[in-house]
Amino acid sequence: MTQGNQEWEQAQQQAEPWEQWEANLVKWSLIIGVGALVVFGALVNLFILH
Amino acid sequence: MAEDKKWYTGMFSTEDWWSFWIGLFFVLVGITAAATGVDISGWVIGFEKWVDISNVLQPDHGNLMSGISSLIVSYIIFTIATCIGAYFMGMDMKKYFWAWTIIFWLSAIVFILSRHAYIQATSIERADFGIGWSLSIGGAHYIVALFVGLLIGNLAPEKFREFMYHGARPEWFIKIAIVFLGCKLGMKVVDSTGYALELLLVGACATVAAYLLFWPLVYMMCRKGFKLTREWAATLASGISICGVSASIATGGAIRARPIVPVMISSLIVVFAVVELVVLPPVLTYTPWFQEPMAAASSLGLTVKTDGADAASGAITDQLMRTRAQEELGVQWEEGWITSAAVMTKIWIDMFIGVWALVLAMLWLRYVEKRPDEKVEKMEVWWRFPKFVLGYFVAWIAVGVLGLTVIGPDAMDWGIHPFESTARHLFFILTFTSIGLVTNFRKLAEENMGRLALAYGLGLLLIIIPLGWIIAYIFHNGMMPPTVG
Repeated sequence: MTQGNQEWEQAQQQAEPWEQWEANLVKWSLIIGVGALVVFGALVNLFILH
Repeated sequence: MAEDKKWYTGMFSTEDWWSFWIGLFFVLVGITAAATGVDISGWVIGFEKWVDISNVLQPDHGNLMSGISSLIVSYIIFTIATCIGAYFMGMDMKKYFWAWTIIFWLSAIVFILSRHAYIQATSIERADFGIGWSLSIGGAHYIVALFVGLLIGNLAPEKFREFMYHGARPEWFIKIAIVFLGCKLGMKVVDSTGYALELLLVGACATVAAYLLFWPLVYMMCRKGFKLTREWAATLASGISICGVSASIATGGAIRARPIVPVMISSLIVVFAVVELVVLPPVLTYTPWFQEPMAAASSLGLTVKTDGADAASGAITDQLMRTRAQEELGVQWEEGWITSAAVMTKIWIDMFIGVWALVLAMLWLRYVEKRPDEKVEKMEVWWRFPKFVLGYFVAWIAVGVLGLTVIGPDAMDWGIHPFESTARHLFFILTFTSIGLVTNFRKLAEENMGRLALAYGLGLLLIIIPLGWIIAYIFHNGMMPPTVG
């Protein structure tokens, strides 16, 4: 078994349960990212691109 | 974390800093030439399109010396410069020197042969060369260099391949070229200040949005879809979302992942970046993306995950799109803007890795290692900051400001052109050859690496590329490269 194989098996077998702080990290990144997309996108299209 | 580090740690021992030093040294040579009128920069070798091979080698300043002399002088000077860097970075000097020498001359031969007019002349140029047909493949030299590198890197005897790794440093070569690209932006500022600044601004906005959307989506896919552990998921998410190898290594360090994790993910990143490098430029050029060349280029910065492959794919797209525009629209777009858009977005992404590594380090200390009281050094942001980016901005500002004021645009163009254009192309082709040499497709054939590759490939296809295209379009739609004249 290659080292990569072992690592991969380990990675799949020992995956920690999904926790609330990870959900918050994902949620807030997405909220800020979408916010940035909307706000910056509007500003750039209003004042630079057109 | 990293308690013994000072702000100047690594200044003379890391690849990033040596891109900064070497790049800026030559920029200084160019500026000195421009300021004094003494021709100390015109020796850089250029490779022109040809039908008579005696015309292919041309020094940047045509009358300074013969083409052969220029090639030899360029080899000697760039060898000395990179050997100094290699020495301070602690490389095996003898092996570096010989491997670099092979890469330099192999790249030069590829460059010469691929510049034949039958391969690269546009339909408009055919009459100048006295030929009736040509393939019109702009940038063919880059593609050929990549394939020659890939052939050697995958089919040559193992001992020779391992030997060539000592000189094949694609990330280093491209970072030097990116510092040179800063000069190009500086010269463009002289011509069109507003447009260059707009490009900078929209690139930054696109990056912020992309960054915060890519990472959580890929992380969630890895954790929930592929049931990966946190260390694998976070490292893979950073690698595929941010700046490839350096992001996976920075994240691995920040969350204290085992060394095998960023190493395995880095090998995937390199392989997939090469596939993107080959596939994306023609896809963008021969689809409706051609109508949006700057958005298309920016999308490369968001989706191609190594600096080398990103700048390289930008350079190919630049050549392919300008050739198509000239032939089909009769418009001659200025060289370099499309490459600049690809590099600009990538540079912003690179700059954020320090901040993200800091955020992840704090989260991991608090929630994974359960040590909320331990402090994370704020200086991590600086240590993770890609230093070649400083060189890029210093070159940009110095050339732009001096070109607009004391030196003047014509003199600045004369002095700096050998580096902002000719040497940049030389380092691009060295990058392509080196990317091929270090890309080992056999890694994918290893048992179960295929499954990791599946996670990476799906992330790229389902999240990074579609979102990258949408974001690039939102922030760059309607932007066109300035036309010549």
